Amino acid sequence: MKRANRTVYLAVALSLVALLAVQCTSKPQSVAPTATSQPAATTAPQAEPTVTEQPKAGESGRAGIFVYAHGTQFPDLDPAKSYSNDSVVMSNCYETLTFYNPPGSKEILTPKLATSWEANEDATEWVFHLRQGVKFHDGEPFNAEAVKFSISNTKALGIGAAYIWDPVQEMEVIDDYTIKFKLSYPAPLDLIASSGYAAWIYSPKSYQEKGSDWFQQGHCAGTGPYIIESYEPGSRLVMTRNESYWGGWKPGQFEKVVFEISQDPVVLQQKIEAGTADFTYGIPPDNEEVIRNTRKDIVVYTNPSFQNLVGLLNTKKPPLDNVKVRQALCYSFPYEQFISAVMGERATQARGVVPAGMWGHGDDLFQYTYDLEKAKQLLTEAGYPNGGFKLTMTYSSGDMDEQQLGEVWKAELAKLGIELEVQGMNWDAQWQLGKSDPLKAQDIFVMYWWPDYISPYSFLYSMFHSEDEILFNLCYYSNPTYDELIDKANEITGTDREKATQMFIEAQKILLDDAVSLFFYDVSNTHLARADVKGYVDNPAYPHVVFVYDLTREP
Amino acid sequence: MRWLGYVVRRLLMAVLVLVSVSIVTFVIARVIPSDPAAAWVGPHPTPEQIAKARQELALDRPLHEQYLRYVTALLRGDFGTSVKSHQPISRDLRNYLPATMELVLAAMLVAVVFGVPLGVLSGAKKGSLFDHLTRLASVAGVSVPTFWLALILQLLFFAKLRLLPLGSRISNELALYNPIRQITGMYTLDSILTGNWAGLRDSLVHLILPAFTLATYPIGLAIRMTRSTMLEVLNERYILAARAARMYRSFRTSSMVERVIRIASPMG
Repeated sequence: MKRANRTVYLAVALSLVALLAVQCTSKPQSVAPTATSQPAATTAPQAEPTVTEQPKAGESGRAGIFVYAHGTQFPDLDPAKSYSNDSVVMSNCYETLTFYNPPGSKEILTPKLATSWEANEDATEWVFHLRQGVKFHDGEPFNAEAVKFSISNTKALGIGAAYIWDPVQEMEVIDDYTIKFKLSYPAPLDLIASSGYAAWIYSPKSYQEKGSDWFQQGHCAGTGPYIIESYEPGSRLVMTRNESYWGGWKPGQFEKVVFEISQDPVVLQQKIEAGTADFTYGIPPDNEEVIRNTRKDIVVYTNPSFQNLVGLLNTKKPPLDNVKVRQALCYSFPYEQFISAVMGERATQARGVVPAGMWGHGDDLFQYTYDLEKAKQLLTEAGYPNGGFKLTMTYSSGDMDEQQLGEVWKAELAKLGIELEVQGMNWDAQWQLGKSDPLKAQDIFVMYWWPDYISPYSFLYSMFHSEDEILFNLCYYSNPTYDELIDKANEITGTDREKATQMFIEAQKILLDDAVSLFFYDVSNTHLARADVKGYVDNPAYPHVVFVYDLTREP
Repeated sequence: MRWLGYVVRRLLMAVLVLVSVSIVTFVIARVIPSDPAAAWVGPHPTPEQIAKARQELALDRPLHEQYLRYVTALLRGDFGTSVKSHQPISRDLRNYLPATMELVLAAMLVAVVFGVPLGVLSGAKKGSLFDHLTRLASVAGVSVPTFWLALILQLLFFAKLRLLPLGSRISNELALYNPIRQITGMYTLDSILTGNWAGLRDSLVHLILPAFTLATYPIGLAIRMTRSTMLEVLNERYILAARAARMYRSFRTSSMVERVIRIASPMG
């Protein structure tokens, strides 16, 4: 038996040694190019990596690499079709004609691939003057023909946000660097051209020769500062500098950009905490607060976004067809308490439909507050002094914020004698129910809205304009005066933005008086960046996008 | 010739099962409330876009016709196109399947390498401290939730000890300066085939945490099964006879071999 004992110990010892051996040899590898931001790198016992893994001469190693730990995949990298989170990639390799400035800027738009533009009096004809000396990644020149091809191709495919180009009837190439758009109805083409989706200008040659598929497999042919170098779907996308970028390069800018995809929020957090990632978002909200208060090496940016949470009320189905009952509901939600207790920094109470910080937002608009007395009075006027009816609220299951909102509201409505059924459904099912017969549909439809190109019209049209066939007007609201007002405002957006703003604010007053929806809150986005990364500015027009060209790493 | 009839019968059954599974999944996918045409277009589609997509995707055709299109395409090896990524499903499969296979194989290897010897030794040393500890470990391995264990191991080996990487299949440095040329899609195999030893080590290091985490359950299972069969065999009369004839040791060795083979079959 003694010998058997020895065998046991030997086996255990051997397996431990084997395990350790693998771990030790791994060390120099995982930290190969030493980085200033990685304290652990200096503690590696073996200083010399045994393999040729150091950066080649001229490359600055980890310091020159920007790592974005991203929580979702990039489903579609075709610039003509992409309409989702892949904009974080697209924005670094493609450019638009115009650029929407972050809130607080003097002008709404800045020139990008277009240097200037003008419209005729009724905004049905637009002329864009294009930047000269710009080349696509494939070496082709950027010119008016390329703009014409990109826009007509995107429009013809009709996928994603391609509808933003609907007003464009005809494009006329005047010379190499001048293009004229003829519209079928007045529209703000300068704003449309700044869209974070479907407005990318790409090389006609590459798109025609290689086709959509080539782009989707992780290639690009734009004019932007970075070029996609390699792509492993679901795990990593690497970009490298476009050396001949028209904006030029200064010392300190990043050489490479790496997007690391991990769908687990905790993994994202661990990566930013350890410094193996420079930028991330979407980590558990409670942990954001801990990091904000305890970590000096990580900066937590919280900024208002252009996304808001609404509760669309079914204006066709009793008892919510009565405006007094709808107003009572608007007074029954504890906005401030909910935001401070549940949302914290992640939300601010909405004022009107258009989020704060976006043009068309009304600072003086009426804001419903939590007032159960007033709600009760309104219910009495409507003939329901003790409530006595039941409402169904649908939300996207899996969204913890919406779910908690439902539970809190349920408790408040119970005080008014109203029973609220809070029903989580997957988005498809929730939407299908919403699009069915209003009399059989939900009473309250909770969802987020965000704009494609930055215009109040996106909010005011999509959710509240009359529709023959229900799409997103899930309050089933129909008011000809309102429709006319916002349609007119949209027409003059391109020529008289001051007046358009006034009209859009006016339109929001109508919606608030009619109490067609609750406007719970504007969502704030939180992003985390390593403190040595400088130059980051959040731009809600391009959600979660980091324009890596603007960044530097400074110790 | 009985086996031929058996094979034919099984094959026919398999076809029947495949057909009914395809019908059931197809009907379920089309009956639950959803609008694939809208999903195809994007998050904020317009009515015109939806109508166009419905026509292009043939969603306006009768259900049986849609099913026939689906099945005939399937027979040609065409799994269709993802409504979300607008990419062929077969490409998604090709991208993700090798990684999954690699991980599963690694986890199984870990389970067999650790589980079987531990089980054998624990059976051979029944009642010893080693036996008790191993049995405890096997119960723990079977009952610990892997998602929780994964988190703890990540915290320990990545965040605290800085020994092992977190997530991904290879490190950024490798992807940038020494990428693995893809042949099979299994990085360990590909790096051997291309002689990329840095790549081999890097991908192995990345496999350690997920493989061990996934292997905890099968390790526990393997220990228990090996141990009990080991005990069963050790109680056989021929072992007693062999013991009497002082041939015990060599017989124990052969029973080990036998166990390994028996264990391997349920794992496969």
